[in-house]
Amino acid sequence: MIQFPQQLHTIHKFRLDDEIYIADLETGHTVPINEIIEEVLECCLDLNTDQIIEALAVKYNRFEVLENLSFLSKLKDIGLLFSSIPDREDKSSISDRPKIFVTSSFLDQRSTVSFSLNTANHRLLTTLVNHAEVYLGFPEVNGNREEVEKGFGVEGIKPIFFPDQNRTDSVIKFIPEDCDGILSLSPLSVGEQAFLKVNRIPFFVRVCNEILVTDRGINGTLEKYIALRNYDALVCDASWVAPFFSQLASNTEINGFHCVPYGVDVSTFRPMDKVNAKRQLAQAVGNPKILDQLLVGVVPELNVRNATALLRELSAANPDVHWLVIHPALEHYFSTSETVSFFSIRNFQDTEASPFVFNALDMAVFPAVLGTLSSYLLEFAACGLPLIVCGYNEPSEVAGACRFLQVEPSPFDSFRPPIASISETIRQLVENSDERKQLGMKARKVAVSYTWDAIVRQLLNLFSESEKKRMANHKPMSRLLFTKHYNRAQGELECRALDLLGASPIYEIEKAIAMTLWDRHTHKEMEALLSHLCQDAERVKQILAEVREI
Amino acid sequence: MLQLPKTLHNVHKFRHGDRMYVTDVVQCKVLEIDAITWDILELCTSFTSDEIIDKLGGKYSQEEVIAVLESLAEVEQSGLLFSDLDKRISTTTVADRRLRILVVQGNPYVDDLTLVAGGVRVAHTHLVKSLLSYADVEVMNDTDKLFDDGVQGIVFRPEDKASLLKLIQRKYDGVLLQRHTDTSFVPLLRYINAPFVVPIYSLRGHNGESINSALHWYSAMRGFDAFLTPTESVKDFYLSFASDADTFQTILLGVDLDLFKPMDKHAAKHEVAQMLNKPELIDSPTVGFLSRFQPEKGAGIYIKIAELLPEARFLVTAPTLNFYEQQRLPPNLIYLSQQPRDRLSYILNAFDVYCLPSMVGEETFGLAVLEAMACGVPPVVPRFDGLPEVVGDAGVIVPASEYPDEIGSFAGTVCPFAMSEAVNGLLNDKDRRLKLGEKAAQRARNFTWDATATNFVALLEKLTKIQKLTTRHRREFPISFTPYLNQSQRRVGYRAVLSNVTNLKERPLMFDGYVQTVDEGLALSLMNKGHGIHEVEAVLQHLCGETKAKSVLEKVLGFQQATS
Repeated sequence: MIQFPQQLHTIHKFRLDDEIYIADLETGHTVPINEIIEEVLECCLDLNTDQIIEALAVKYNRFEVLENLSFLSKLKDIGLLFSSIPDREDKSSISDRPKIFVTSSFLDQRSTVSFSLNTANHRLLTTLVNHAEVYLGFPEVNGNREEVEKGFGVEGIKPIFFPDQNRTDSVIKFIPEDCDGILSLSPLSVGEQAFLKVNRIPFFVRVCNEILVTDRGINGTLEKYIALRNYDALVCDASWVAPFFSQLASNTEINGFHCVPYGVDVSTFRPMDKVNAKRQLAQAVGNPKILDQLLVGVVPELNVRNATALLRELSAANPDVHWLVIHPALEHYFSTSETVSFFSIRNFQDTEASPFVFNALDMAVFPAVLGTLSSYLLEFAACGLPLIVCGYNEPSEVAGACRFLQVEPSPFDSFRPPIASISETIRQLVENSDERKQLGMKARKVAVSYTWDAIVRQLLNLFSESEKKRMANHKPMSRLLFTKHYNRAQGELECRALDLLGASPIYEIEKAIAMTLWDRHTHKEMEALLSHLCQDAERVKQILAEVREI
Repeated sequence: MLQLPKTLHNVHKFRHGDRMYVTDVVQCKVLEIDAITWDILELCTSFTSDEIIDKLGGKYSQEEVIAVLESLAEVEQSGLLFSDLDKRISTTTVADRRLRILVVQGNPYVDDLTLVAGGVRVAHTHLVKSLLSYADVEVMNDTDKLFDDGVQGIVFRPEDKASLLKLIQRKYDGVLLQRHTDTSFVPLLRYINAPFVVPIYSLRGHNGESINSALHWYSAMRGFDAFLTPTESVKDFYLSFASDADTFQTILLGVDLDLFKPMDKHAAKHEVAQMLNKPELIDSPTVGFLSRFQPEKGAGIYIKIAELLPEARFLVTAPTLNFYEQQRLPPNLIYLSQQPRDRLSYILNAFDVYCLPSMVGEETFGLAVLEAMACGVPPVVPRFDGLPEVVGDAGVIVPASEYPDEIGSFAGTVCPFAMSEAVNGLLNDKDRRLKLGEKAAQRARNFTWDATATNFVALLEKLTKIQKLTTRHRREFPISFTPYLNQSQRRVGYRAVLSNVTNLKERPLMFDGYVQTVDEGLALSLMNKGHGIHEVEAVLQHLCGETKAKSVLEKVLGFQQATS
């Protein structure tokens, strides 16, 4: 079906013997038309195909409208009447007040993520509206406009209501056409995959480490990653997420992963009087022994079983340490212990208390790679805490400002934190107060650059870079015919792919599949498809390289 | 010089900006013209060329006007302007007009069959003529001429956009190919919406080219196109290569009963004997052969039968004896060169038995056999391909060995002794021979070209209904191929995910997408790209074998049907 809008050639319309004709002066051909086609030609530059069908279906039989569009498709196929409209011009940079459309899927998932994450998303949007025009799409249900506008609580966001009862429209139609980017704060909405197929606005997906605690989280992110175009991005809150996906998605470097941590309010999260902070904490948890012991904060993965196993091992290996566990719900699963306390951030009061609680810590440990609350990393750093971080690569956001413990990557085995290494590192830091102090100061220094404004600016810069990367969509359109062929010499039926435009080229089937679907799928999707078909990574690489050249 | 005055019923001239143009709406071309041409066109409906030269003498020189008139004549000759074609095309509904059928063939149409010998051309031309009772028939030709039989020629040059545009806009109700080996016309499927009917007149042959041409068409066909198979044996043969049985539709061919009918045998034999100056033909039993005298048509077997039955006369009517001319032929074998079709009835009637030991892979029907039957001559043929279906119980069918894997030319063999016994049996039993001859004539009367045309039109109507059901604006769902972590199997797997572009909550397309296997996703993605179901069938069979391919395709088609 012809895809509108289309640029109409220079034409002359005339009537002859009660019939209407169009003379295409650019190609030198005359075409008979009818009223339906006449109306299509009047709006061919302004409306897309769906809009044209809907507009004309009011007046004419829908089947006739589709038939006439099919006729116009054939004319375009042979070069008559239409030229494609050039892609929207690449902008070298977006304007001072860029337009960002935020999808609303994260609102549906608020009850399934941590309070901290919800708070962070809220803070991100609040800051974003200071730098951009922010639109948020909502389905309009039972006249909920006022409720939504009041309840969301981010001033400055422009809600766009799309009618839920309109069964043919999609939210995509309501995105402002001059939008500079689309931001999704959840990778788990597969419906948003459609954004990547129907428009060419840079699409950024926020991936928070905590959702990677389940297979659904991992695979949902993977699906999003595969569907990204070269100007889209997965924007992770932790830099150690990308190496994990490199094992699953590609044998080469990861493209499309960027680290944009959640910001930190450095005026609220700052070094404070540690003794005082410890005293307050000891009182709050009812355990005065905290005052005398080394207090180490630990942010385990959200998986309760793994987290409790980790805690037991850490406790056993470090009997002189008092552990403060930052986790939404672990205290319900861990038996009472004199050396383990819990701090769960479940409401605003907890959030307000967290700078004081963090300052009570002597150091903090991040033992897990995936499925952890990595948003606390910079808050700890901002409080001047020495950090011990485990992962595949040293996280860039605290590079040089932490003690990094490298572990071997594996997507299948439960990540087993290096208990011995963690214990040894704790012991070293306890014995070396200078180093501890230095690390704390460095951590504070790096954290200061991650203000919310800085984070938002980083995000908007990424959108700007995406505009530059976005290439014209001139992927080759191969006209191939897949046909059976009886090979007389072999006495068997085989499949061949013939090039309808060339005289004789015949292609290997897997290569032909890649050629014909090249313009409908991303490079990574083609790689995934060919990996399944060929079962040979080298062959896949070869085919992709050959097709790209064609 | 252009012959004037002329009625310009398809011509329109116009100005656009400071330029001038003329267009012929039937030929679909627009030509930019100059002021002289404009002025000539203004006058050409009312004045002769000489009068125009006079009238424009004040404005232009005589030489200038003559030059333009000559170039207009050339333009007319090339078919760009001043067409005579009926341009009633776009607005009349099917109910208001007769069916319009396009006949696609690579060689010029010949409406006089007198000198035509090949079975395919004869069958095709008869079919085209018989369709005239039910439809307006336009045939690809080197000129836009109206033939005497009422068929309209239409010029088609594949490299010319105007040619293609003409075909697109003429809104045909159906397209009939001359032969399936014309694969150069496959691209027309993209441009002509009407159902295509592609006859398969040759089953095997040419080292597999025949089969592969059919497979090429099969792959490109849409759900509302079909092969015309003249007998069920053709359909059965192709179903070993193709899965979609509905693509093959059997329509029996006809025979020209006005031309081929029983005559006085003695008179016919007398006529032929005189032609050949062989008076012995009048009273001798005659076994006839009317076809190409080549090995694949059983020429060698026929010669052996002649050697085995020295008392009978074996009359060969063929274009040439080919390499058999160099051989020592039995003395009872008589050769008659190819005759015009209007004489064939005499020749066939002179036969007592018609013998065609053909084992060629092209005997899809056996039109020559049917023509003999129509003349009341009982046939003796091998049990091979389409021959038994045509002969039925109105002849003798001799058991034969078929080579099932042979797709070249020779596809089997028949024993010459068995054939000679069958022939001899008829020659020695006049009663049986005459009764069988009557039966043959009676059976042949069921094979009329009008019945073929009626069935063809019925097939077109059926295909048009299927076309209407086939969704053109099929819903397309974005499909993503993605790896996924299969923890339980400790491996990375691959799958396809369909996403929903609307807000509509409709199972299975909820907001979390619809997961499919890669094969299913690939099938859908290929169809979204515009590849037909037969192409997808070919790809899936290559990738996952016939059985799985069938189940994947069924599932995907069912999904499409359910969601459209």
